[in-house]
Amino acid sequence: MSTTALAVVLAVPFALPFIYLIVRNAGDLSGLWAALTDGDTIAPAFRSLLLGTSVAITAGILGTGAAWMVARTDLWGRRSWALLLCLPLVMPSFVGAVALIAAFSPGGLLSQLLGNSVPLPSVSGFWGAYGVLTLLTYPYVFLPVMARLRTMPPATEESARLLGRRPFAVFLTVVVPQARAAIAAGALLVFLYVISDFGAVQLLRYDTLTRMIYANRLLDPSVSVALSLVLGVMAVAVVAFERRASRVGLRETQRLRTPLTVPLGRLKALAITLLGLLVTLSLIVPIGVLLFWAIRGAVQGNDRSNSVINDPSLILGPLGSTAGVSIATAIVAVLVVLPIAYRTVRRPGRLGEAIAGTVVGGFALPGLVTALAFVFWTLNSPGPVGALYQTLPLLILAYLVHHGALALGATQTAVAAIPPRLEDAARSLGSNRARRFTSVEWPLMWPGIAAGAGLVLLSTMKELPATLLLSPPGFSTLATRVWSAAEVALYEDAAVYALVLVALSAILTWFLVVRPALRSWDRVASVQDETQPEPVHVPAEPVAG
Amino acid sequence: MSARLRAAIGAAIVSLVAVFAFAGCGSSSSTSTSASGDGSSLVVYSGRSEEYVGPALAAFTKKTGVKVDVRYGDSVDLGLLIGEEGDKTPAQVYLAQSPGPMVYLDQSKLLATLPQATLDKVPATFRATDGTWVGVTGRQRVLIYNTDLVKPGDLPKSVFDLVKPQYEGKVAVAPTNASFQDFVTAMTQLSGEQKTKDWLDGLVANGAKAYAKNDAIADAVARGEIAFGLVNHYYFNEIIKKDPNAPVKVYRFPGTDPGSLFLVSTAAIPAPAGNNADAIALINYMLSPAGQAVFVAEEGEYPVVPGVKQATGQPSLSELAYPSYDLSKLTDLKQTAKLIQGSGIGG
Repeated sequence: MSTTALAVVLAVPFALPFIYLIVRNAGDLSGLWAALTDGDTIAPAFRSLLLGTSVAITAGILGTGAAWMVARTDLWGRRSWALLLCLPLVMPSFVGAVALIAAFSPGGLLSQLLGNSVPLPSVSGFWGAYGVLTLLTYPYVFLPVMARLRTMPPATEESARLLGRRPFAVFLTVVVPQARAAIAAGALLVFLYVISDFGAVQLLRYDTLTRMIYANRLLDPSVSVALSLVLGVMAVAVVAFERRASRVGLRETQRLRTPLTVPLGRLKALAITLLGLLVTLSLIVPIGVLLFWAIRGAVQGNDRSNSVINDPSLILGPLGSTAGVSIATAIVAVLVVLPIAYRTVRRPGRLGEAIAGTVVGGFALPGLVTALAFVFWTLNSPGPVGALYQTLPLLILAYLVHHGALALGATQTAVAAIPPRLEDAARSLGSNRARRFTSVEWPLMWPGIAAGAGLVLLSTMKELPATLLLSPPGFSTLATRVWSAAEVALYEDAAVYALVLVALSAILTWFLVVRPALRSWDRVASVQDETQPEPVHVPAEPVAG
Repeated sequence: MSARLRAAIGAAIVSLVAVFAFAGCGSSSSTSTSASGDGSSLVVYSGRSEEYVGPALAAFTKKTGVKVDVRYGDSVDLGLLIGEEGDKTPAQVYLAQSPGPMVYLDQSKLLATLPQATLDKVPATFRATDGTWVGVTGRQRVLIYNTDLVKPGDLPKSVFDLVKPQYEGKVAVAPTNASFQDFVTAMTQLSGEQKTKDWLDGLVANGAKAYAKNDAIADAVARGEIAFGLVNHYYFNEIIKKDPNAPVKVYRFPGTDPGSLFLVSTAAIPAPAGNNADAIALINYMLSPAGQAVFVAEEGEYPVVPGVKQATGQPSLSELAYPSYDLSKLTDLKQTAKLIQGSGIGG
């Protein structure tokens, strides 16, 4: 089989859920129309947009502001801040929601601090979801904007300052416009994250599209598939925009030069306070709440024989399952995307773009929607497709479709990095295709591919809705354990599973996201040291007010 | 990417794989509920949470050696799921919080008839007239309230009073919960559809708050987030277990008010599992004195098998006042679910 044919065949699974949704809705146009025009379904769509927009804007402001302080000012310990501000990425949204609910629950941290007589406010609904999602997603803006600000040429900014613009005005009129592609790309990712989110809105009971899709999946499947299509189209459109935004961003990349460093003067304390508050709320408080429940649960004990507190070995089953499916998915993802990466890198063009676009489309489709499409499809199919229902291969297929794009990006970069000269040399020395692959290409590519596989591993580990819907009976992961314990308000059990999940996720995030980010930070710093031993400081004017 | 970084990523992945592999080995040898694929395990769909049925299932596995793989979920969801799955359902035993989902599946002819010996363990009022499902434990619908927020004189005379102005914003319900849905179905039949619809609309207009689960309502009432909660009686025991001094009391609507409906949790065998001996053995075990005792001791539910002692500290089954109602009439699962969803009370 040629690479092209193989790549096309391998890309097919990524389109399956979307095709199923279209076919299913096309077969029931009146149902689709009824769902689209019904006030009961328009309201959740509006809530999804409201939540997505609010969170994206707030995360955009927080992320950009934090990135500017870390990248462009003379704050103390900027490298450490850069690291701390990325870390909320390790927490899945449902863990954040569990921490919030547990903090406000009876016998929780707040009722212990305030005493039982003070009635605690309800955290569910819009504000709870808004708060949790904003605090967990601002790093999606922070990371790209920080990278952009570190490499942005200072010329325009210098001119603006020399012409007498105040620092804040310079920030708004010069820095933000130059970084807008990075900000937009980050904010769109946040928007996608929020409209796709299932765990936080379900636990915090804010009726968005995902919640409505879930509630109707069995009661009224036609409503559920119609809303799934709506959400799917929204998500794919967002990703298309995001890709355009980040492509523009790539074009803007300049050679490294010293960015300006703005002395904060008296405002330094304020900046530290703000960043400290952000890190505290997004990282220290949720982990603190979970630790509080876990430790107190262990100290007090309970009389439930199936509690992980009483029998810590109960964690091994979900840990093993999480590990097993995540590793399997990562390996399958590499095997599937490698031929696609070869085809799209070596022979760029329309077809290649279509193939890559299909894989990215699978990523764009919310996990809940992908999972539901596979549930309905296998249930309504006879023979081998029907036999896949509630089996591990189907679960892994759904993970692959949802996370494959994460491996594709890294693998494409790895393939593109093979110098053609080496291959030509190997060929002229008589190596055949297989030999060239094993002795030349694979050794060069594997670190990149491993990073891609790691990203798939990381995302699969934290996945919730597809796991809930597609797992075989008796199969539970750390994520579903957190979920089921939280649903019945057993927060001490939920906290133990959540902490293990967060710890595992932290290890992977450190190597795959944080370290590369810090590396690029250090690289920029070293370039600065070589070219400009004495960084130019523009005198700061006090910010009005 | 630098060589050091590559090495670090490589090392990280290798060490993670090692950790995972270790955990994987550990799990396959030490847990009994993970999927093993050897075909000898019994697949159970449980609408009752692991907290409540886990101990009984573990005791069954210990006694018989039969492994049990459980899919936990909402009773109504799992009932509808088996309905969608039809003859493809992997479920060999279905446990529900309430009879409604069973009646729904029975209407679609998706349940096998249980052996007469199994049915005979339970009084006729607590099982299907056609023998397709059987009650496992008894529970009464009650109103729990926070004693800091509610004076005894302020308690309602009937569940219908909860839509009156003095209860505005003070009532918690779990609209997606099977027991609540069965209670609404029964109310429809006992008091009329219009009155029920008006009551649901009245709850919404009166600012009643929806919670995902009864456990969450129990928590909210205990911490004073809300004054009243419509739940099953044993959730009161749950609160007291967590905090013996919690300011919560249980109130039973007097007489034959639909608000004090008596329901049973249920068990059935989906049709494809037919005469699966392990499935029958599991249901028989749960109806044995030992099985019943687990539910009574762990949760304070009412035993349905005559002669099994009930939990202390609650009125005996014969003292309880509740409307007489044929549980096989809980036929309107989907209609009720839609009625509740249509009222806008949420879930």
